[in-house]
Amino acid sequence: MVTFRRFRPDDLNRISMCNMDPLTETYDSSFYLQYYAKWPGMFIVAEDDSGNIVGYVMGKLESSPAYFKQSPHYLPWHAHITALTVAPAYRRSGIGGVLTKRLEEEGDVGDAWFMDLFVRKSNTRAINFYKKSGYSVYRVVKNYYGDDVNDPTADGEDAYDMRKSMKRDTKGQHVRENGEKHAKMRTKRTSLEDPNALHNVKKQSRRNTPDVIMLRRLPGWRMLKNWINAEGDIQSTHDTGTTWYLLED
Amino acid sequence: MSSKIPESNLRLESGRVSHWSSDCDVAGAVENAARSQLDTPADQRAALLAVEKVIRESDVIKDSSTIDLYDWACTGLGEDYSKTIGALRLSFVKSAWKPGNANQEAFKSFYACVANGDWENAQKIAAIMDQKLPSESRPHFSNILAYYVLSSRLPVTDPRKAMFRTLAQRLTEKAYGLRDNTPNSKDYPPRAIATEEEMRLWLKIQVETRQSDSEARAFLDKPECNALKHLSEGHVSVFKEIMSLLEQHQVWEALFHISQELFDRGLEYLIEAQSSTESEPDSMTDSERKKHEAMKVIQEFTASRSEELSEVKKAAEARAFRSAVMDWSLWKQFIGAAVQLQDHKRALKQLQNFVTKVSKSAKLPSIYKKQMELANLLILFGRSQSNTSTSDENISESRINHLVAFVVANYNLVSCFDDLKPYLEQLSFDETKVFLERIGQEGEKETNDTFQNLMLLTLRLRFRYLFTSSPKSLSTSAGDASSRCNFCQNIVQDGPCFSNRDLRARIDSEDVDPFADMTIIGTTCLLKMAGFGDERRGSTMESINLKLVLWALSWLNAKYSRTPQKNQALPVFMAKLYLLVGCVPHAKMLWDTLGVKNVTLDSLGPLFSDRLSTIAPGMWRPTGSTPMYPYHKHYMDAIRQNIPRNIRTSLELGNFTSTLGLLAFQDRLTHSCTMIVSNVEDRRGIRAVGGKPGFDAKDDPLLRLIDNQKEFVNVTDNAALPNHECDPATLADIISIGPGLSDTRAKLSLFTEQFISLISYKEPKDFKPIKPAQVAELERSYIAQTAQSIHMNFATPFLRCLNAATDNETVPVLTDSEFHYFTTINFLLSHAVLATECQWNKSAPRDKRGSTIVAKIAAQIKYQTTSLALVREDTPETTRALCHFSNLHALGMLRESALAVKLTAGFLERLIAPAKNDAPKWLAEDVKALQSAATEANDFVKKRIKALSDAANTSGSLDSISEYAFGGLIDGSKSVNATPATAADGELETMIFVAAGQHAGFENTIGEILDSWQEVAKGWNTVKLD
Ligand SMILES: CC(C)(COP(=O)(O)OP(=O)(O)OC[C@H]1O[C@@H](n2cnc3c(N)ncnc32)[C@H](O)[C@@H]1OP(=O)(O)O)[C@@H](O)C(=O)NCCC(=O)NCCS
Repeated sequence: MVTFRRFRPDDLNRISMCNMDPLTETYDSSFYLQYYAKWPGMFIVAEDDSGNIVGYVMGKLESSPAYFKQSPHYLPWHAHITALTVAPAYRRSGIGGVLTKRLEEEGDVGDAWFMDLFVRKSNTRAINFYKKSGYSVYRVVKNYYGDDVNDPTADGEDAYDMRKSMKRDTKGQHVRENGEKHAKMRTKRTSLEDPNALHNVKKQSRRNTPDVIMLRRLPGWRMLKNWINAEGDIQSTHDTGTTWYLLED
Repeated sequence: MSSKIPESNLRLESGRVSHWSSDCDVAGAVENAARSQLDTPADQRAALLAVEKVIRESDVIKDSSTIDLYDWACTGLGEDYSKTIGALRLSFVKSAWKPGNANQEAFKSFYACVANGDWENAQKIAAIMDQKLPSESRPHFSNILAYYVLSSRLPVTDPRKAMFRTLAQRLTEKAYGLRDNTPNSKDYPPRAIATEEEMRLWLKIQVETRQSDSEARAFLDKPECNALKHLSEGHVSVFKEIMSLLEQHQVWEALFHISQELFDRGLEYLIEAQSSTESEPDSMTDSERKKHEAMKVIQEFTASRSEELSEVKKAAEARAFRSAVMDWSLWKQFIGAAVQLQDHKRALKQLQNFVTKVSKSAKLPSIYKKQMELANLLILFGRSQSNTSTSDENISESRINHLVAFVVANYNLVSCFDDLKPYLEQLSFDETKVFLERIGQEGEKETNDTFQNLMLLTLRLRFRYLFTSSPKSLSTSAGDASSRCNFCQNIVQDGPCFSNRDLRARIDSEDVDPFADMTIIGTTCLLKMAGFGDERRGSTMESINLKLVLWALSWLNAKYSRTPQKNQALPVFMAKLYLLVGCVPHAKMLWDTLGVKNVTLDSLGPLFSDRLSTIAPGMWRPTGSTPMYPYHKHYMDAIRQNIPRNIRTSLELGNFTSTLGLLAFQDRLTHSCTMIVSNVEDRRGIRAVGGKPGFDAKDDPLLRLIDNQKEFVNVTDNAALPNHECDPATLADIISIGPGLSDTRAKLSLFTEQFISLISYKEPKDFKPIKPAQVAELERSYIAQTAQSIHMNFATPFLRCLNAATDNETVPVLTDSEFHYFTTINFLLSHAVLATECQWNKSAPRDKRGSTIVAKIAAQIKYQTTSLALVREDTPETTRALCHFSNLHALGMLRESALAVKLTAGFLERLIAPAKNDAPKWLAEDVKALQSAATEANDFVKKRIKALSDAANTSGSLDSISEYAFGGLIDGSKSVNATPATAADGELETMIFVAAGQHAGFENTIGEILDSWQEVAKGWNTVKLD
């Protein structure tokens, strides 16, 4: 039987049942620890009687920075599911359902308008699961995933941006029907190897917001105030805690 | 690494001519920072020297960005942060910082000290901020946290330890009092506990600063610890924490009492939530109508309370109660508490009533239905546990009925076996018999479909195996040395099912695969028959029947290649088994499909990489990247970069539990057995192929962070392997090269590496001291001291091993070969101490203690060599050499032992060289004896490598090994269709041959094994032995 509780760092030693599954990626420690440090209530695990982690969900609360307000892609205060996984052996027993419900409750506590997530268009199991849990497609993000698991030669795979209204959204303003018909282009990645390119990127991003900017280590160069990270989330230098920040690729 | 250099400073950097300046102005700092990135040591340390000068002269750097710059420039120099940058930061906050606009600067200083583990200065900075910013809460709680962390880090001998602990306790008490005295949460003063995180910090400090059990109990009895009050406020995590504390301190009455109240109120909320999503159905039965009425009353009750509670508060309370009432860990605690009560019968009955109530009155999702079934089982077993007359037949029958019902209801869940395992282990032998019989009957019911019956029979097989691994299944009669199995032997027929298409399709659509389970059970039995027990100390080849291991491998391989995997149990099992027989490349291929990397290396990495260098040294190259590089990277990144960064983030956001959790995690990773052993693996591997590790053990960036006095932690996670053994045995015990990681082995390995680094050190060729004799004496005295201290550290874990070797009760932590290796190291260490401490003149007599050391070392080596020559007697001549592939670990440890002896001999030679005329004569004799022992062993290793290589590359190997495994079935003189009826006729052999895919399947497996052996032999050929 499983117990649901907040994540603790030592849980990383007991995630074999989830992470040995090829569908679940294992990241570097910074990925898990930043959620634990920033949103400890939104990193929830399901633990079996022997202490194995058989499922977990990682989420966060955020909004786009204020000066993005004019952008059609501005996101108001909302909760986001970054990762959700249940060990193959434990699927279809309701664990995924409880985990998302707990996260939604945290979303309500945090006064979020809605919960959103990205899922591969080909991941029908997860899409069915989310639909059953009350989520609907808000839009399709073209080429969201850089690689296509089914076809390595293809350009990239589309993602569904799915949403569910939280209690605050009493009028359902943040969800829509027929979201499958709303498409958004995947933001383009620009690699900044030449410092002079920064100028161009700035111009480009004004014309064509937003842009993914991968900054290599360029001593003395300022990071843009905001960028779209690899997950497609808007991040600001505020998140990193420093104004001056040089990223290594 | 990401770096934070103020842009303005960098601009300056590029515009300046580089000349040395000791000024601590911005320009000087920029220049020093720039120099720190250059190549020469003088440049790299320029910033550090400047910092030390400022501190020596009691100067203050008044600009925090300049300190940031120095911080950046001094990174990686290994200096004590608290005495350098930390001290600068403190003096800045003390003398230069003024509250107001620049508050962030003080916080930044605090975070920087924390991130660098400098809690001394962090605490002082926090105290200043707390004092100067009385209307802010963050500095106050940072200060409390710093007192607490510092007190837990200071040694017991430091008087400040108790003082800081008391301060932390008092300040949290006060903060709690401020909260308690403020009725409305909006009016909490800044120093009152306001958030859940602050509340958890309060609880942790309050409990941990109370040292005795009775003090802790007294605290838990206080009104502040009213768990339900915390739950009402929505603080589930605080509530659960208090429950765990009550359990830990065995306050059963209180724990049970809380359960009653929680259930009563929680159920109201549960029903309320459901009724709000359901409207009254049109046609209701009487009982449904009653229930609906009841719900209405409850709704009205809660509605009336909403006057007292604001909407938000009420929602939080409801959410918290709903979550707690269905929390399985709490259920376990409540049932556990009930069992301990005087009137446990009544208490358990009350809990059972509640199970019935929940199950009936609420429309539960399936996950909670199962939880209620398990709660019932737990209560039932709790009842018989607390029952004085354990032979109570009613209870026994009821236990079996519940267990059978659970299996029938949940047979298609993967977790079914694991859910029941702890209960089955408690059954008496008679109960197990009845239980198995009943499951057998269930699995033969004609009303079931084939899949269901097959699943039930497979589960029965798994349960049957579990009981086999329990001592209850055996009985020994007086005077009879052998044990008798209490069960009769049944054979499960599985043949025809493989070709059933409908069944195959059904299995494909399910999460469970009965055939995979059968294969695992069957092959585990084969391995046990082959001689692999659960308390092995490494492969003693004369006891292992390789033929049965080959059967197991071919059966597993056939299953693996025939159908897609439902989970990772089979590939992990196979990878380990292939390692056991020396097929490292094939094991690696399987292992690579499992995606073990980054954060999972600590817990899963050892399943593959432990002892790798001993069996496949050819995976290493003298220079360049190593097989263990991903481990080093993971630990370096986590310990030095990611954890400190996130500690800072958690503090910035006031997530104190995360701060404490991250600090504990950092300490845990620093003392992880995997970290240490993977480091040692690389050292051994690199040495084997003639290279030199990048760092000496004492300078290694990770090893030098270790505190030897701490317990090294083993976090290996065997959950990925199937496990049908009765607790505490695991399958991993059976199919690993030797015992798992342990504090003892990690410590022995670490100290051995320190010793090897010490004796491997060679002065640079151009080092020509003016007074060589004097320098040599100094050198000897340094080595004597260091070797002595290593030897002392080594002694404690080594003594534990010696005791384990003579005591049958203690589970061994080393393989036989490791034991002899470390024994050799122990003698070498003693010898090094004697040689460096002894009187240094030609005719000095040999120390008495030392007279037999060299002979003992030679005997250890000899013993290792002799046992390597043994092979099971019934192995045919043609396959004998191949059998040695299953014993590579012992060969690897012999090679390491010989190398350690050789290095010691070389070290002694160098010791003698500068003072040839003064060196005691006996020392030179010992050098010779050691050299000859090492050479003899190395000659043996060389011969063995050649034999392995020849055997793997002989053209007839495939045939001879096939014949060895399956005899007549391979050459066609026996037919699978003429199934023999008895074991003596080879019934089992035929069945396995069929399961292994017959001729083609088996040859495929053997082909893969041979390919692997060829590659491993090739790797061994790169080992440097001269
Ligand atoms: C998606 C996932 C988290 C679902 O977890 P789960 O614990 O199996 O889900 P639940 O048991 O709570 O399922 C709830 C409901 O969702 C639906 N659902 C779940 N899995 C489904 C599937 N494979 N097909 C159709 N519906 C499904 C069902 O309606 C189910 O209710 P039911 O079993 O009573 O019919 C799990 O399948 C998983 O870990 N997948 C791999 C990782 C992944 O894709 N994550 C999502 C990335 S964004």
